[in-house]
Amino acid sequence: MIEGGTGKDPVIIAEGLTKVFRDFWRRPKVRALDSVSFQIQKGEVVGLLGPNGAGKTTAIKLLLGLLHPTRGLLRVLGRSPRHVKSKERIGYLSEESFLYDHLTAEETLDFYGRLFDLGRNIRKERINQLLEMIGLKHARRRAIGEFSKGMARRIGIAQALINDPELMVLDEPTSGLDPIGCREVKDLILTLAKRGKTILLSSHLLADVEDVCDRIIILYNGRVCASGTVQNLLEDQTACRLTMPSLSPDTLKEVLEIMRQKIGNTPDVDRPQKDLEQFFLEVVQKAQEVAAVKTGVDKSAGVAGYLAREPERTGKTVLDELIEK
Amino acid sequence: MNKIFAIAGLAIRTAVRSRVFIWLMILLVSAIIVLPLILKGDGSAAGRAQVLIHYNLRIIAIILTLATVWVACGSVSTEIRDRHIHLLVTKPVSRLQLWLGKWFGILCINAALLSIGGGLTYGLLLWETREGVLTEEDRATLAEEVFVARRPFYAETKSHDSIATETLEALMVRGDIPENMPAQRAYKTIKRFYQLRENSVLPGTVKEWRFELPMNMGPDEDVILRYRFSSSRQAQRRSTAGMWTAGRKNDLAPFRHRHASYPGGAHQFTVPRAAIPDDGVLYVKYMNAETKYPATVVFDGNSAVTILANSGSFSMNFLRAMLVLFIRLAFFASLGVTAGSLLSMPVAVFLSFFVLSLSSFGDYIASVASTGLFYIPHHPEHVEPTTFLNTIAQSFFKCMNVVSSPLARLDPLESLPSGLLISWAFIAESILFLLIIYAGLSAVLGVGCFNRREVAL
Repeated sequence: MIEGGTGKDPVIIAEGLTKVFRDFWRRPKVRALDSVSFQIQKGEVVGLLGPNGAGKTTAIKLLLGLLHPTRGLLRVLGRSPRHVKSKERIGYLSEESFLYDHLTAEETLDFYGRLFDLGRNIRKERINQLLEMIGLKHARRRAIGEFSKGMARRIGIAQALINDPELMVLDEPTSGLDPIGCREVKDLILTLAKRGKTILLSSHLLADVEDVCDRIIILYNGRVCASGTVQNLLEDQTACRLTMPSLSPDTLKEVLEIMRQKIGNTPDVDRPQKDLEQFFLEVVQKAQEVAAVKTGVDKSAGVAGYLAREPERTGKTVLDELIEK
Repeated sequence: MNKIFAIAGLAIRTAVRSRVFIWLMILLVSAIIVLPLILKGDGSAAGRAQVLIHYNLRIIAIILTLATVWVACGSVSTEIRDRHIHLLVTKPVSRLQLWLGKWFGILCINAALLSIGGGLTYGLLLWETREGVLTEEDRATLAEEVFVARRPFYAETKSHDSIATETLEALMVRGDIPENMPAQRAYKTIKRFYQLRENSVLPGTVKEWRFELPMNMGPDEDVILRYRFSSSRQAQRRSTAGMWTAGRKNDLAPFRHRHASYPGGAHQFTVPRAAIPDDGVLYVKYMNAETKYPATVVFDGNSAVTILANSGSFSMNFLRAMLVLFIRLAFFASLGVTAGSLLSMPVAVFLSFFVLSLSSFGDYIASVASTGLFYIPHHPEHVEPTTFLNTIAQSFFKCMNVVSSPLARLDPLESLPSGLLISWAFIAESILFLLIIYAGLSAVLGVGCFNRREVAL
């Protein structure tokens, strides 16, 4: 059975997808993917997980037409992934930021915008919004080669969004980003998901995947090992957790005694802890309120306007509206 | 087109910011300034100008060709190596647009550098031959010999095919052809014998040529007769006296020119307009008048005697030469981009330089393609080593000749310094062969294979 194959509006269809890498003499060398089948429906956020060498990046490269499948069927947005038309609606963030070092941030985004045939005014408007969103408006005229890895990564994210894509393929989207950047990327993914975008992301950081994904596919050795919704896969059906305001020692003792009588043994009690990411974000937020950032990344201005706008209200994208103007 | 321009713009930016453009410009300007200081010519003003045109433009062509091949080979292969291609091909850009964008970008860089190089050479030429630097006589010679654009007219040639065939058949019947000499080789030898006999002028004898010149020539449009010959006393370096006459078929009185000239080099003299009949059909006769050291004179080949008629200005001819150089660069750019689309940078560069070298060895390749690799022309027993290896080698050289022949033939720098016209027909031929056929085939091959290539391997 094809994983995720129940929906009526599949954005990605992979059936029996196999990729065999061959050597110079065409002898099989590595079977990176072996009869992988899955579907991704419109509006889903799907995480592709797996250890190193599991076939995640190969799967993504096949989806983008960078590699050709040895066997199997692959359809992206209803077309072959090598079809130029289907690429108009895809945004891709690569594992590393393969950008041109000699171009400035603004030139980079403008170049990729031109490849989507976006008009000059639309490009200008989107570049401004994107640079503001990724906190690099002050560095728009600096060459990418002078950027830190995290800053270049943010430009990589911006270029993937320049066309307001329907399908986003994100390979390790939070790699190289600081915790604020990670949080912002996750917020961005959730915002885009709210707008009905389909997102496929691969990551080693399981917490990131857990935070944003509706569904996960776990690959191992080129095969799908597990898949399903995050909730179904992670829910422990043998236990439950109660969270309540802090209790006085006497009240707690009484509650535990009642529970011991009801379930037969005494439950574990501890104080909930903030996770480190949340704590870090709070500290930085306070620091930003005191002093403006002089180098590196500015405080983000939130998701770019054209990306955050709810499409349901008008049924039109920002691009459509600008053309109408 | 926007996508192609975007990719072309990127190629230009890369060239400028990686300082390739700046270094090439410095190299070009240095070569243009330094070369005239080194080269002296034959001491005459015309010779100096010819050397300046020939060597300056040749060095510009060489530098730009090498740079074009290098940059073009790297334009796609480095994108693949550095993985920039991952972001490029995941955008709605076809491989054809990518190929064209890269090619167009390199053409823009070439156009800019060629304009700078050509403009500087032309400026230097005007500067070195300006009024006050040269005598009026030198300037007049320059205007007559170098700063001109003359169309060459060649004499009608007689075909020796039928007589060579008849002779071969007769010799075969008599059994006078050596057993191991192929008929084709015997035919070529016989034909060559008749050609040499036709073009030889023994002492005291006369040879005649017939030229068809335009009928609408102006009243003051004198023409130049240019000739080169070899002599049976060539090794002794002796001059040979000759008498040239020109006019109508049976009336060569209008013009006579007696001259003792040395074999090997090119010689020329002016034939006045008055000697040219109104119907444009000019007969030229040469009498071997050498009496002190009698020698047979041979005017070998179609271009041994040519009539040169004025046809346009030198500046326009110079521009046309630049245009042909640009077309040649466009071909090499296409070759480089294609090689870089299919192969890694070092292999692509190696392959492109191999093709480039074919243009330098055009004569040798043509000769091997015609005779084979192991032809021994003066072997006493006419031994013909028709081995399998020789057949393979000959076929290989024939294939190479297909590429090298137009590259060697369509070279504007053979004509420009001699004041020969680079005609629009020559440009059209360059466009047809180098741009449409060769660059087009290279593009089709490049895009076709690039389309099938997995760029993320």
